[in-house]
Amino acid sequence: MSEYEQHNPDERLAAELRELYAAPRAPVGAVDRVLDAVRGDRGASSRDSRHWLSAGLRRVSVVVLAAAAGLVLFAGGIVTDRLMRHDSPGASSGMVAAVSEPDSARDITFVFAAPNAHDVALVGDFNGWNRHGAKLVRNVAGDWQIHVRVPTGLHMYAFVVDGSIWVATPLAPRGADDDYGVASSTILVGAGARPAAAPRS
Amino acid sequence: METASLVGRAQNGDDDAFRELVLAHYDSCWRYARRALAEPSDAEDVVQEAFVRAHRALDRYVDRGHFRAWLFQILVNECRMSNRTSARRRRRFPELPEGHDVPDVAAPSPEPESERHAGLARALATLDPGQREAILLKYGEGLEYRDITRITGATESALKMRVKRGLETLRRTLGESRNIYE
Repeated sequence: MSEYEQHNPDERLAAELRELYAAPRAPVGAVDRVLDAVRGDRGASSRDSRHWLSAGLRRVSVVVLAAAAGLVLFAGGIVTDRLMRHDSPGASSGMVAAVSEPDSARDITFVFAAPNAHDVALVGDFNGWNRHGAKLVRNVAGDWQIHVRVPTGLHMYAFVVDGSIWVATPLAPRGADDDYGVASSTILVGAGARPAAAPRS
Repeated sequence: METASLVGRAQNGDDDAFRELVLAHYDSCWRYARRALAEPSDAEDVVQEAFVRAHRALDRYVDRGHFRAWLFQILVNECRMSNRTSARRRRRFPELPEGHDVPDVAAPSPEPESERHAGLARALATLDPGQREAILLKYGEGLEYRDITRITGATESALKMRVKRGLETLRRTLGESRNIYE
């Protein structure tokens, strides 16, 4: 620690943080385990075209893509059943629940517009924030879409674009658990909801 | 070999090049995850998943000399995901203390830390997640704010405020235990 750092509390703390950060050593053999996992993933992905990004896909700047996604994203409703209801406090958000049966869960259709995206996943507290479990697919309109059965109650969710860009739709209420400056959206699924239109941006 | 060259070769399917990239970046990724995660024992799994995802998305990476920032963007998101899952587990099982809710017998034993480091690590762990994230990237990784902006998606002014507030909180917390920062 330099003399300057010793006499400046913030610099002293910063120096200590650097020491702390550098202290732990990575586990032995971890790199080999990473490479094994990559090989395993490649094998698994080649058997599942939904998850594999072929070498033929055109390259798109992540930054440009993020901006594009932010401009055009929306969450819209697809009516798939006899009644279209909206369960969110922010009905105008465009998130629509298509109710299929009056029990403790609802079938929700999530629609997300990101024309330049190659991969969109829905993550939320209802699926353990697992981006592998709920991949959206393109619908006939070219939007990304997925039907998910969501338990009744208040839930937080977001879309993960191309595996790394976390996007909360600005058209839905923002979650209170906005810990990282990257927000989640909220949806209230349950009885007592009122019918809502399905606006599209 | 330069990172850009390695990335180009890896994008063309060269496994040795990707291995070189992992070797070059693994340690810093692991150190970040170790301090950023609510469950430090998850660090190896989270870093592994980040590299798997990076390999999957490699074809979409356009080289502008920002590979490290791009990789960290993926890693930071993985850490956020893991922390959200941990927080959800703790809400469901509130009787379990943070950092010990899921015993992991396969995890390597953490290296013993000096009392000084241990105190700072505890204080760091209690920070607001966004502040901890910014401080780790700024002081741990030594990144410039423009790179941290790219990684976290937060504005530079927001990041500076998080770092400032985070340092204040750390000084206050440590000052209470050590009485040296006030």
